[in-house]
Amino acid sequence: MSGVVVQVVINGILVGGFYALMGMGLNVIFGVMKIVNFCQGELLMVGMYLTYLFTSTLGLDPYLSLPLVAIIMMCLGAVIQHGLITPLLGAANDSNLIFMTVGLMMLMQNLALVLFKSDYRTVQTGYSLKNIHLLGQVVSLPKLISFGVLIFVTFLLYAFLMKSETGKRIRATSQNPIGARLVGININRMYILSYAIGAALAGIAGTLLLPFYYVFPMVGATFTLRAFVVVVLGGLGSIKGAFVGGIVLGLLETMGAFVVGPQFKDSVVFLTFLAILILRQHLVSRAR
Amino acid sequence: MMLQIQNVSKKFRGLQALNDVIFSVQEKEIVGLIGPNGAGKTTLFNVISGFYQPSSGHIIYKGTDVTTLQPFQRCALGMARTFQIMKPLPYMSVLDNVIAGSMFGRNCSRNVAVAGPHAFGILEFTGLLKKQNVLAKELGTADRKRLELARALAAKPDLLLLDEVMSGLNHAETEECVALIREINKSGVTILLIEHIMKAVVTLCEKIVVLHHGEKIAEGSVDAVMNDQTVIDIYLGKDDDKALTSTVN
Amino acid sequence: MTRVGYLRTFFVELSLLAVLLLVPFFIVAPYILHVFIMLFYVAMLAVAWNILGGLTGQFSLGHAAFMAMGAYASTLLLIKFNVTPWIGMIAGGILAGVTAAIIFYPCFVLRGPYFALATIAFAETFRNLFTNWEMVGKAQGILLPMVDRSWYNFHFSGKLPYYYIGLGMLLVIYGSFAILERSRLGYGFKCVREDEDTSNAIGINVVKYKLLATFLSAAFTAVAGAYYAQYVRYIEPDLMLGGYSIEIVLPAIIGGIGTVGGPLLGAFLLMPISEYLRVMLGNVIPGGHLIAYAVILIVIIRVKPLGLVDWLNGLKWYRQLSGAKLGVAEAVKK
Repeated sequence: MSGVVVQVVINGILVGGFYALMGMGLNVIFGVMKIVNFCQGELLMVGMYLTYLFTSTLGLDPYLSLPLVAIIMMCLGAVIQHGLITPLLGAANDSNLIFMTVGLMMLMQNLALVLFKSDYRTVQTGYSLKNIHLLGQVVSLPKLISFGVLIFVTFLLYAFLMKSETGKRIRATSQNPIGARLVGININRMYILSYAIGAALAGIAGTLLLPFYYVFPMVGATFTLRAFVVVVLGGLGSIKGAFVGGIVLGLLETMGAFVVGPQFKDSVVFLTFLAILILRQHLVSRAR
Repeated sequence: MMLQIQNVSKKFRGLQALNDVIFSVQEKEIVGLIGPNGAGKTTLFNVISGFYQPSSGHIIYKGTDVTTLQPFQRCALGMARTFQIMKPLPYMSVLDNVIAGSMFGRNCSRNVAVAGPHAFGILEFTGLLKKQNVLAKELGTADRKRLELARALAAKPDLLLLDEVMSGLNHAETEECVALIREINKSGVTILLIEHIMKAVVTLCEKIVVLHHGEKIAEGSVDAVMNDQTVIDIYLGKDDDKALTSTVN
Repeated sequence: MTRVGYLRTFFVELSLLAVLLLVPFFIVAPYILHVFIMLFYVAMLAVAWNILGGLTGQFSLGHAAFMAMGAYASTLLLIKFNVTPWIGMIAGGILAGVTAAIIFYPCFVLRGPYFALATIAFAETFRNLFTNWEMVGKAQGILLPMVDRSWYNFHFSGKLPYYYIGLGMLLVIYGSFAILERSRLGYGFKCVREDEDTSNAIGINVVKYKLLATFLSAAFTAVAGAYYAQYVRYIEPDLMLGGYSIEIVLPAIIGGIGTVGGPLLGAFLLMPISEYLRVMLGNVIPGGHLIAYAVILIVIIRVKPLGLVDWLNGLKWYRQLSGAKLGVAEAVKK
């Protein structure tokens, strides 16, 4: 009996890592620009398709294509931010930004549909099917490698944001854009950088996901919502929070599936999300 | 008695914004609420109008304890307020702003046809008639202030809370505003106003309450408060000659 | 708008209605009639959504769930209890309205994007639940049985009855919106949209008005859903997919959020484009029309966020014709 529980926990942590990465990407974007990026999941999808292309046409190992994917995603993010999003910032009504990112979501989803059809695709590597024994459970190797890279990326991100000059500038912009401007920070550049990083993180998550998952045009949809759950769980703008939140969400999902059955795991996730969202807001307004 | 502030305190996390404030406003009075920035004046307004709950104390309005009532409920009882950081309904016209003000207050017009004439009257009174079709977000400061006032008036209040309606106005506009407020008071409305423009305060108010660091440090007639040494020390400035006539911002 | 402006607009609307009434006399091709029927359906949904989204400023991205509720409710009532869909429609509307009010009530404290997220989460939860619910056929959904064709069963041969019923329903929903927008209730909604604190200060019970808007919006949406069910005769949980919720919202945004004519304009614009693309690209490029939607949405938001109505109001000749005062940032000439 306990063996199953251990399996559930391990799976929860492994999948949670991805949610954490998605959440972190969303946090960077949201934390700095206060916009809700509804196409975060689609950026993951783009990353997956890019990795798929690199692997299937160039024969690259998916993990090796990671830097390439990251760079391409950063460029894509920068273009989106500068061309479409920055011009909309500052309006009192943020509904425009919501619908802009929703429009991007639709665009990316359907472009993928047109380019790649709705087939489910994945990549096979030499080690795709290899398994490792961990704590008496069988765990697929790619999952573990992906998780490892994920931790590494998290550390990189954290170090970048906390220690580097640029990272500090980004944090300054997120805390107080006007103040940041006053001390000479080019906040437009910071916005572009933030979105680029957010997009890159999503793309990286995609690269890490492909070896043991499959890509199809709608794959992003579930991840967007879960990224938001992570952000809500872990606290807006908090990288550490997103990491913990992601793991918690993963555990919640696998344990929920275990308890009520896999077909209802989505409902478990969403209802918990709603509960936390609402409770938190009520607590905030109670403080008045 | 129109309004009683009974031992009102308000604490935010770690900050005591209001501390045991006690005073009252008689019917048809014009009372001024002054004090340095950060003294808690707008916070007090928020408590009086229901946007904040006091940590302790009561607000008694026309003899009824309204402390737990929502702002819209207090509006229905005849309380209206303006906002220091002006909050017009931006994408609605000036006329619609005032119509809205008159449809939901105590006036409670059934529809636009009834609220319309009332709104027109108020627009005329506040000098906004020519601009009735302008979108509220397009207005300049002076007009926005007028709109705040007009919208509050549209609710036919018994008690009007004015939060710095004259800040940002030039000399002529300030004088117009003072005259306007006097007219409003003459029609039977009790007024409690926050102001930094001393000339206006001195001309309009029958009574002044002074707040500092969330506490009431003085209350009384204009003469008494203006010449109170503590008040002069912390707010008005040490030059006695200028105290009564200067425009302090 | 000035009196003359209202009259002119009314005249235009009347002319449009006349044209629509006469279309079937000139065009008999069932496919074209189908396009019109879907156009009416989409327009209904867009106008209904606009009550909550455009008028009251609460952007729901999960409205497809209410549409499905109406569809399922009227269908189940017909199949299990032989209740005519005409009544089933109303029942579904009330059910959806009440459900929406209950589940959105705790969400009203959420600001903009969070509210949207919550609505998506609710819609997805419903979809998940319906996909696993025996009574509604789980993922397979329900195929409406071949009942006799009659007014009672809301089942007709040929497209003509559906056409006129759809047009009629659109008229009712559109008319209701127009009346609502100018009523005291509508003013209340608009104030809530503009500034909740100010609304509170002038005597509006913000929560009550949000609940009313939610109820009306969801109810009308569900009624449209019932119509859909009776026409298409097949319903499934995937009708609640996020994509459909977004498709509901698009005409309102592109046409002009919060305006009376906006959703209609948006629907009339998008439907033909969508159909044209579907015909042109056919099965070669599925999803092509959605790409067009997406591009149009992105362009509109980028260039004219307040929609086509705003763009129209920016044209001098249009302003002079309609005497429009709102929608454009322009000062009155003294």
